[in-house]
Amino acid sequence: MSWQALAARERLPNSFIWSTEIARNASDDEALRFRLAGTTALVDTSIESGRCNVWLITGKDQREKLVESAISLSSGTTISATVETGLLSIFVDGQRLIVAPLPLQKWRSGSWSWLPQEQDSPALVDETTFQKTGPVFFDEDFMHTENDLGEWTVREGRWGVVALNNPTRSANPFSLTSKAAQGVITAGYPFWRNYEFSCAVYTEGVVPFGLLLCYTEAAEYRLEFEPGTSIDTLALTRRDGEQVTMLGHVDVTGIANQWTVLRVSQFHGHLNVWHDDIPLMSVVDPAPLIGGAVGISTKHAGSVRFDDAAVRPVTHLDIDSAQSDPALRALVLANVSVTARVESIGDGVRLYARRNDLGDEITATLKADAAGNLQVIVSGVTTESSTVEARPRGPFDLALHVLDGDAWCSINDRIVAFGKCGEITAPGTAGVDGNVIRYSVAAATPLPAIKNRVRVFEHEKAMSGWSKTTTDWLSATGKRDAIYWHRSDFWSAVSIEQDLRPWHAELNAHSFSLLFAGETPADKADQIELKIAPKSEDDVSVEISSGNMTSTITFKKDALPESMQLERRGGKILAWIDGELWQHFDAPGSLADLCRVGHRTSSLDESWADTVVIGAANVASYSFRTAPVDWSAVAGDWKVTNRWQCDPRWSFYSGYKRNGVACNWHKAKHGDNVTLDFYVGPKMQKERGGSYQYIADFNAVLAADGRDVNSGYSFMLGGCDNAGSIILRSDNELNFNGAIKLPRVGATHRRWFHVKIRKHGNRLRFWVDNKLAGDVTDDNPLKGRRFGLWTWDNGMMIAQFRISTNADLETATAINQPPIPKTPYDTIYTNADAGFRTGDRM
Amino acid sequence: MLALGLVTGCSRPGSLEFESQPPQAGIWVDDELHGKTPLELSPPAPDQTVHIRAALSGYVDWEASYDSTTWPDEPVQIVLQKRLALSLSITSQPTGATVFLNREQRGRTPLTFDRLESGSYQLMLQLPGRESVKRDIDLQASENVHVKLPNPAITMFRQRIAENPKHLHNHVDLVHELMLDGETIAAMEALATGMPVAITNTPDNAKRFWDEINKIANEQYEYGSDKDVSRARAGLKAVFFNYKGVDPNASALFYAQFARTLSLSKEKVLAKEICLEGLQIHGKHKALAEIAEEIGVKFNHD
Repeated sequence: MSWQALAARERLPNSFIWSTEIARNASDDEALRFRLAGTTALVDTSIESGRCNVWLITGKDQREKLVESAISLSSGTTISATVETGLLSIFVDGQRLIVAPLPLQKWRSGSWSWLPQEQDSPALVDETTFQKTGPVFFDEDFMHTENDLGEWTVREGRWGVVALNNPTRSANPFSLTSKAAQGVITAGYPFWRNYEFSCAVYTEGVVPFGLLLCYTEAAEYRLEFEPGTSIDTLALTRRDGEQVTMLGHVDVTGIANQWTVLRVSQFHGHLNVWHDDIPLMSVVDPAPLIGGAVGISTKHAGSVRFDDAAVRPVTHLDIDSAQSDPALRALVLANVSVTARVESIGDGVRLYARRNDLGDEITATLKADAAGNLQVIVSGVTTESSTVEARPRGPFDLALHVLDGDAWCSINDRIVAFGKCGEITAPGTAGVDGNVIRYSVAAATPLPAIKNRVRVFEHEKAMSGWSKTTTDWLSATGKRDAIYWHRSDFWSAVSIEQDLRPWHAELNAHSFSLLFAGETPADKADQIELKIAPKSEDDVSVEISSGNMTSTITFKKDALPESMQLERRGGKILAWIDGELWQHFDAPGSLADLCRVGHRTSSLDESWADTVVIGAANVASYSFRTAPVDWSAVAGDWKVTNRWQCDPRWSFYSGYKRNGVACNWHKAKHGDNVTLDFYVGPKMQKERGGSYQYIADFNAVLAADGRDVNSGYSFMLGGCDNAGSIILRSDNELNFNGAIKLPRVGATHRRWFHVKIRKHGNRLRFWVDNKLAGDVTDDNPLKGRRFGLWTWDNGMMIAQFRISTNADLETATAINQPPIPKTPYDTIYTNADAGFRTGDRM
Repeated sequence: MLALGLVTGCSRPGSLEFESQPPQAGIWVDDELHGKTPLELSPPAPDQTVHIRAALSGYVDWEASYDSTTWPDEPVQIVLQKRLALSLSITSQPTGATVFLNREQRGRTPLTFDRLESGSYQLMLQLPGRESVKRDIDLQASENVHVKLPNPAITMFRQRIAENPKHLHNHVDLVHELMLDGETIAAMEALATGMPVAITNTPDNAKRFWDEINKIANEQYEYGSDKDVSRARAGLKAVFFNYKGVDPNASALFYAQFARTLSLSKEKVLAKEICLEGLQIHGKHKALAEIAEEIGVKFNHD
């Protein structure tokens, strides 16, 4: 007998699912074959005699068995082949049977064929179904009306969208809730595969709920929050029909009674769970589900609200070197960071990226030379090597970063070598050759852009005094060629990029500069400037200067660069032109910690600010347009809402408490150096007077323990019944400034005050509307890492909040049932000698 | 693309070596993979025609058909041509959207990829406050793609108006979002829909509606070029005139706002005429009196 074609396709996409259903029980002599044809290889999956074999064929008599498994072909069984770059999987009834690594090449054609037992045997399969698959992107902020559920399908119960009473433009007050005791709602398709699902959740009380992924009517993964009598848990289960299998569970705190984010991912059976970005659980399902929709479940009507649901492709894998799962090859990227934990260099360690069938490969090799020095070689279209000056002690992180046309290698986050990759022709796999403890593969991206404004307000001319892009910048003089310094501090990696395209005509007469500088103006010698300026009638020059060093490149005016960028990263200063690394050198000592970012132009057109993008690591900005999932309100009434019903566009976070403390901790920890800056305004309380006679205590705390305000430094604007601006350590006054206080006048209506707080090691500083309100050094600085906002017997509204620090903004472990924080006012009431000023009220 | 040259070492009678530049191309004979170049192939049988294809990633396939009479008598050297690099230029409205190509974040619009191979690509654009847009692109020639990222607020306010047409705030917010999106005509239609609601509302409740009109007429927020401002002012005028045609005895507040809008739009003479008309219908209403004084209309009630 000969093979009979069942289905064939040409020009296959990069990834797909191709399924067929067995029409009748197969005899031992019958066979089913799925064939892929590429450029230099054929891959045959044959199912016969109770076995499933995957063969790689590279020539007439060149066959290699890749993988083998037992299988039975019975009536009604669905066989699915899934193909993605470098990987073939065979699923039986939606459950993976085998996975086989494939050569990295495009599969041009494919076919299902059947080898019958006899000429007139009835067909073994009826028909095939083909579905192209790909990365899944899905966002849902539930900005619908109450009865519009958008792309969501109710599977059980009743669901609806709820809104605040004052639903307005920018505060995104909409969320999803179940209107019945039991509810399940889903979004997506059965062919959604290998994704990450996150959702913001708010529970009123400690009530159960769940997130679903790979949901089909037949099966699903379910992450469920299960309240307990003493401890709550998150349980990850897998359902197949009626059968439920526990995959893992973990105790958890800090989920109930506040906005929080749960995230769960599934990548070829590798399941990971995070709560507020803290990794909680990592399990492997050896026979993973093929895929499916995402979903939400509840068991209590109206007690849980869901918001800001998102589905994303998995672009980060942490891999234990002992794992040999070929499925982990399926993360194929062009821009990638490979980071390996290295204990022993041995014969050398090699990281690779962008390895593909076109012959591309970028590598970073670390090895010891004959003299015992460590050499790093970065190899792409060029090969560059350098000697590691400071040999790391103990285990260290070796990383290769590949971003567009450039690559660099770092050891413990310090850049040690650069290389050129050439232009991207195709993505590829990434990994490690050599002996490492573990490694991670993640998509490499430019530094995340910081932006913190609300769109509808940026356009308002009446609001331009504080809402347009230039309000992020402080001008020294406001004159031509004046330096505008960005109002934020940057303690970690930072970049500033100027889009030059809108300014090509201006470059006939005007210059544009990007600047970095340290803490004080006296450091001008260490100021770094990347400047583009007219040079002659035909030429424009780009120059970078740092101290006595200057480098210049010239461009013809008919071929001007489209962008330039200055970056501090990994201990280096990098200058980029048109996305390509042009210059790099060690960052001067004055830029080791604090980096200020500046812009200068000889043009008086202030719209330059719209063409500049700042990117930064370890910076978080909040315009409070989404659920406040990064905050933990522990006292008082806190909500994201709008300030004015008559002009309700500015979204902000407000806190209010009469006769007590309103306190809101951020969930992340800061480093030794940290800056907070934000706008703060009074909350109108008409019952206390029409001229803001009551306003006081716009306070922030940092270096605290996340429990008591008294554990940290408090920076008080209008503290102690508006006595002045005060810096406290616990309830001890470190600094007092009676000149800067809140104006208790009617004109304070709609007024916002800009507050900036900086802790640089042991020095604490405090500015209000760019005026220094406090400056003090504490010889024994506090070691706490938590920061928050608080007021006392008052209300305040926070807008455009930004935190910038020198350490990863990792979420702190949540505190179950956090206490009402102790503040200086708790102790001043009981301790008359506490020593700080008391205003009229005290 | 077929070049002939002397190659030695053929071991079977009529067998021929196929070489390629670059090497390691897959040699397919009638859809059967025989191996990689350099590769020796036997000649076809006397009554047989074979189709030979050389394939290598990144290169255009080389193909030829032979029968026993056309089978070359000299080794075959194949020079594979690189596939043409295609470009894909992506722009968006608003600009600055994050571009994902086949799951990877690759930059912000406007963005051009210069060295893409032909084939299928999945494109996604994302911008905070906008609906994400996904496109499947079958790239066979260099292409420019422009994507408009829908504003979800517009959809939402339309839905809310459909459910509760009397709630004036939704009309105002819809107009504002449409103006910021450059949808002037749609914004004027939305204003026209909201006008009867504003007129039947209390002055306090309607304040945001009239304020929005003032902001458009007086260009109090940046919604476009001078041409856009002129179009918007013309649109406002049309909305007022159309409503006046339907309801000539519209409220005093309507006439006051109509006159104010014309005045803000630098149409002083027409503003005075409309103001006077309102005064003639409604007498010396407070709002009409205010605008009359502002634009210099004298009116004797008697």
